[in-house]
Amino acid sequence: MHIAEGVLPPEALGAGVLAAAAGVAIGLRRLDEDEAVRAGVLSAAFFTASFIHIPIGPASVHLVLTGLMGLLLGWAAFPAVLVALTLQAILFGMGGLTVLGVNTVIMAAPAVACYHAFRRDLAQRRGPGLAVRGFLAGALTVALSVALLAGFLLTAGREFAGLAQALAAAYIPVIIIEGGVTAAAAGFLVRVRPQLFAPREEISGHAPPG
Amino acid sequence: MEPSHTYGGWLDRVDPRVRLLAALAFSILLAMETRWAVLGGAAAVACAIAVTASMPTGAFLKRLIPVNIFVLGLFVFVPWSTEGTPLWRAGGFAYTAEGLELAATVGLRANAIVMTAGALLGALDPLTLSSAMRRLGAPPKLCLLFVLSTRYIGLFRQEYLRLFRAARVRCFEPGANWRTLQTQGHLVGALLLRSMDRADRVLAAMRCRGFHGELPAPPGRPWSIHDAAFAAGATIVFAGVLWTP
Repeated sequence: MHIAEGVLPPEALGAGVLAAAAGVAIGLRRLDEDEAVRAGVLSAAFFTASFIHIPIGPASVHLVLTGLMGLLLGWAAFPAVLVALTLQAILFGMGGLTVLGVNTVIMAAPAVACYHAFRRDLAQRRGPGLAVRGFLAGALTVALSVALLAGFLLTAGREFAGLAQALAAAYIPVIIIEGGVTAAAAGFLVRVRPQLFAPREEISGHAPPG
Repeated sequence: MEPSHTYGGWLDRVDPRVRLLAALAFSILLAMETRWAVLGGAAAVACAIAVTASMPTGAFLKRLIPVNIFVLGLFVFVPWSTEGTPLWRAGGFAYTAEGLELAATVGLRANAIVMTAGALLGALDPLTLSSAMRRLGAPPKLCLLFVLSTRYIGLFRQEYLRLFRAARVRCFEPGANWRTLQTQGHLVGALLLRSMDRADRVLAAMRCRGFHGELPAPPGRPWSIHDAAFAAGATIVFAGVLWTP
């Protein structure tokens, strides 16, 4: 879920940097010292999830899990995504420095939207209601990211319309897979430790030490 | 993460901050560049720096794979959506020469940028990079996230593989079905729970060692003749590209 270097016009790159900087600033301001450590460790866990491959026929797709990230981290998804993308760019040459802003927005903005749409009453849900919300959180977050990716690609010109459509089509199985995995993971976490999804002010009295 | 290692090339003598700033400046410059000569020249210089001074050739080439999968997509799709002189026709669409040229320009630009950043930064380990970012004024909390992520990615990968092996031993066969998604979801859930418990222990341990929401700034290295020479050279090349018509 990256736009590569060299494609987008400077205006789009600049807009991405500004939007990402605003999101990261909000995310960092909302993290106190406990949550900063937790967000750092969680962002490593989400990075690990991108190594998990689900086979589809002869090919396979890897997990993104930005929906789950949004549910657990809220606005802190912005700095967490920025950190993960920076590491991917430096270690593997995926994405790159000039597209860091755009790619952060593509992945983190839908995660924050997911947080606002689904987090509020998740801890009270059980059964099908929980599964459906988990599925929608995972699937819609990735769908929104694909829409943003296609939209940014179109700022480079009409010539990229075909590529944008092909990418969007290629992501349809990813959207379904993300929905299924997020539903299972969110359901698991809500049942095992519902206080993770409690309203913000109750979080500080959290989990027993492991 | 792997322990920090250097390849012993001359680039190691240049301060990571200088390399980071140079990579950023040249990435931005190249992102706005359309001249093939400049893009090709940048790619050639970047390759030369990478193989002589910063990293093994194999590692450098491996970094170019992700961007070139995207570039392949450009060549397959962009010329069909571009108006101009048709080279082939199929079902009312035309693969145009103008589109091919656009794909080639973007592909060359993408490679030039990735090569430049790879040559300058690819051999730096993430912790060195994080301390360079910190000393260039990045928010301390962001650098804390960066350092912690770097520390735990390798560990969580091992942990996930352990959970995955445990599932395999219990006859889990991954495939394109709901059972796989559910099982992987539960593995991810377990991984996240363990990572959050670990975060609480890490925080407690850090507090015992005087942590108050911020890590102390890492010591920098003094400005050296190598930094000055590299910075001067980079500035001259940058200005040259900017002001050549």
